[in-house]
Amino acid sequence: MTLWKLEWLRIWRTQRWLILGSVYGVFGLLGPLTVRYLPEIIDRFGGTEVVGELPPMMPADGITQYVSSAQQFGLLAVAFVGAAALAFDAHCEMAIFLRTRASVRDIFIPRLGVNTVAAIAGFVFGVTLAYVGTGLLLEWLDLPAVVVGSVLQSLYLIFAVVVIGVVSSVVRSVAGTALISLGVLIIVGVASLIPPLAPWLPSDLLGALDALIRGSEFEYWRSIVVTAASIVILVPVSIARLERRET
Amino acid sequence: MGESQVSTSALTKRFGDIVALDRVDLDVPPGIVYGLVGPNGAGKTTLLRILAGLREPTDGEVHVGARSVGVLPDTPRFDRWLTGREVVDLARSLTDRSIPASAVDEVLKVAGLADDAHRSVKGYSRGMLQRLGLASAVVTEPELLLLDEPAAALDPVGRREVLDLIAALAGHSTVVFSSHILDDVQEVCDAVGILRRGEMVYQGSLPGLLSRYVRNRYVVRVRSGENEIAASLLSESWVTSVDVEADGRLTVDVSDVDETERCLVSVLAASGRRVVSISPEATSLEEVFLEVTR
Repeated sequence: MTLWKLEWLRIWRTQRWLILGSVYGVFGLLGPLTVRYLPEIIDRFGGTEVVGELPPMMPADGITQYVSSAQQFGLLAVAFVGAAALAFDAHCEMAIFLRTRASVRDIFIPRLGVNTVAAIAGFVFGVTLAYVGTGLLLEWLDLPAVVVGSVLQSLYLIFAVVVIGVVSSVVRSVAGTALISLGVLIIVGVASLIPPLAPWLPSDLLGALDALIRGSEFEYWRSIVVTAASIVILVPVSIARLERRET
Repeated sequence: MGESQVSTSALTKRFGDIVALDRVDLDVPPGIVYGLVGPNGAGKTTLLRILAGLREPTDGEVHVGARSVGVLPDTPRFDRWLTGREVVDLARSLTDRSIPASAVDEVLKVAGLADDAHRSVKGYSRGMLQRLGLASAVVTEPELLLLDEPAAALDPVGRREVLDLIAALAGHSTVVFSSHILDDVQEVCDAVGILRRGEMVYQGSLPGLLSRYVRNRYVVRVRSGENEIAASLLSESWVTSVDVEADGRLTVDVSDVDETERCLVSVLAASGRRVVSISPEATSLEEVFLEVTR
């Protein structure tokens, strides 16, 4: 038994993989379905007049719907699943078991790694469903754009999990870690409303998939650099803070 | 601090204005079972956690000579989705991967958990968790074991098993364990340290502790005439006080044991009353504990 195996078992046996998979999967399925059948759905519920006013749906809207939902509900799931693993000091006795046998780095890195992989896997699973669904129901989208956009969104997810890690070094409880992490990520998102700041923020990457499949230019180097730098800085900061914490 | 397995010098720990440990000098020789006793809030857990490296002292020095340390918190808790065997195997692999996996099964057997080894920890009772924690702590045969209230809140059978496990470790490992169950301490400890409000008020062997606080007291039982006998005893220079109880029982505190052993019987014989028994009263650890921590 290693600490890496422990984390894979945690994701598997607690069925947290199912939470991530179902949240991203459901929205991955619903995205193209709602775009394809939205007029029929509205019509079924008596909104005939509204249907007439709807703008024509584009194939890219299938992915847009998914990305929009994934940013909200997916990130919520990632925050709670990540916090449940990363806030390992939440239960003092469990922390004593680990801290007296392994270094903080050895405890923290597998938790960070496995939860990042799980979050990205969930997101990619949803994107795959949305891409295939859009292709089958509407029109096949530009695959390279979907792949590049997904990579950038995944970079944001790494940043999000790292933020959860930093917060876990400040507060001990799982709920506190999840909620404060979400607060930090929302603040970063809100800050992107300031135009000169937006291209530099990790939250800029959240719009990459949607923009790229609609043919926008690739202009994410600044946010990629800032996000990568934040990850590289925040991981050792988290470890240093956790090492100084008393149990 | 030369030959000690664990020692501290003027160890102080403050939490804000609260002094949890106040200049504690601990000295634990290798290979012994050391009992750390004291009332709740005396600083036992804080001291153990500092020795385990989980907390930093505010002041003073800590020396831990052991190359490997096993720690058991007072209420062990594990990921509920792991099996008992996985917990002990995790403890083994994190501490020393060179120890064969067969050691896991052996220690689970000794801890009485062999039949439940493949069950998830979720279904374990409090006593089973305590034994699992102890098994995890000893699987790598550490040179030093720090056990925080290892037998607290266990039923008599569970307590017996845990005490037997600790007694079996004597000689192989140095064990420091905290407890407020004085019978446990008296049963398995070679030495004892008593903490009171963060201060080490006594440290040494148990017989040494008992002899330091021994009271020179005798209990005499007579059929009748206890008040008359009490008066006779009080006239003796070696008697400091006599308490008379309703059932013919006299508790006699004396200042000189030699003189008492020479003269007590003759004083009683001179009274002409029927004497049922004469016995010196032993001092219990509980009485000493109450005296020391008062």
